[in-house]
Amino acid sequence: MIGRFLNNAMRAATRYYSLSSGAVFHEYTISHSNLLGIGYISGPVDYLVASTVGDMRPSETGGVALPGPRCFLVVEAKQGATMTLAVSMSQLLAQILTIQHNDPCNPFVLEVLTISERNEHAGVLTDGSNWRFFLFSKKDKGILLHSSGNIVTADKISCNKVLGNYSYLLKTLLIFKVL
Amino acid sequence: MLLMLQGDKRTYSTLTEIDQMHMFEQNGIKRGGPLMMSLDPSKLYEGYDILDSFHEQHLIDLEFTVLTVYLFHIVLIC
Repeated sequence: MIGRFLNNAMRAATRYYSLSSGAVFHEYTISHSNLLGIGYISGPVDYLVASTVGDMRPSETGGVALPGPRCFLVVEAKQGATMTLAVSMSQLLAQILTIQHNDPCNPFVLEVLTISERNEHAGVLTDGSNWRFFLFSKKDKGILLHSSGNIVTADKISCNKVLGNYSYLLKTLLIFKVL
Repeated sequence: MLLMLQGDKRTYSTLTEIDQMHMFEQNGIKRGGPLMMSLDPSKLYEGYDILDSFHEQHLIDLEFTVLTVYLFHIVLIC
């Protein structure tokens, strides 16, 4: 269900914003060599919504795409009961910090040369119907964490409805627009 | 030895609430206000727009990088 929502949202957002590429990567392994407060850490993220390397579009050209420089969203899928636990938040927080660290868009050299700096990354904890969004923005050499509260999509929507129902497609698009 | 190495390996799924506190402290993370509480379309443009900011931010980065390198060359020539 979560994958269906994300795929629809990414497809709609790519079309709506005329993005050069965009894809949903499932169980994509990331790692951080020395995450502050933790040290070395690795593991798969449930879903990573990102551009693709070389703006590759496998649906048109075939082949295997890899996540590109723009990571729109890190998704941690949970069972309903574990969604609100601190360990779930810890997991998402570490994954986003890793994504920020690995972001090749604005490496340190570019930050020195430019007056602007890397800005925002987003993550979401979800069980498929409740979506808790978080926005991490870098400011003053620190990170500001915004939380969204809960966005409830719907209860027990069948996959066929998600694929064919315009209002749900629009809602997933709106979630990306909110980000 | 192999078992010891595997035991030391941290994964995202094994993090605890204490780890979360360490990450907050060590990375200088501060809590901000709510991101967005509503999906009211009329309020969407008041919220954050990552997709647009990505485009704008990268263009600005590129412009300033090119400008900085260009000015650096002028200084060298002078």
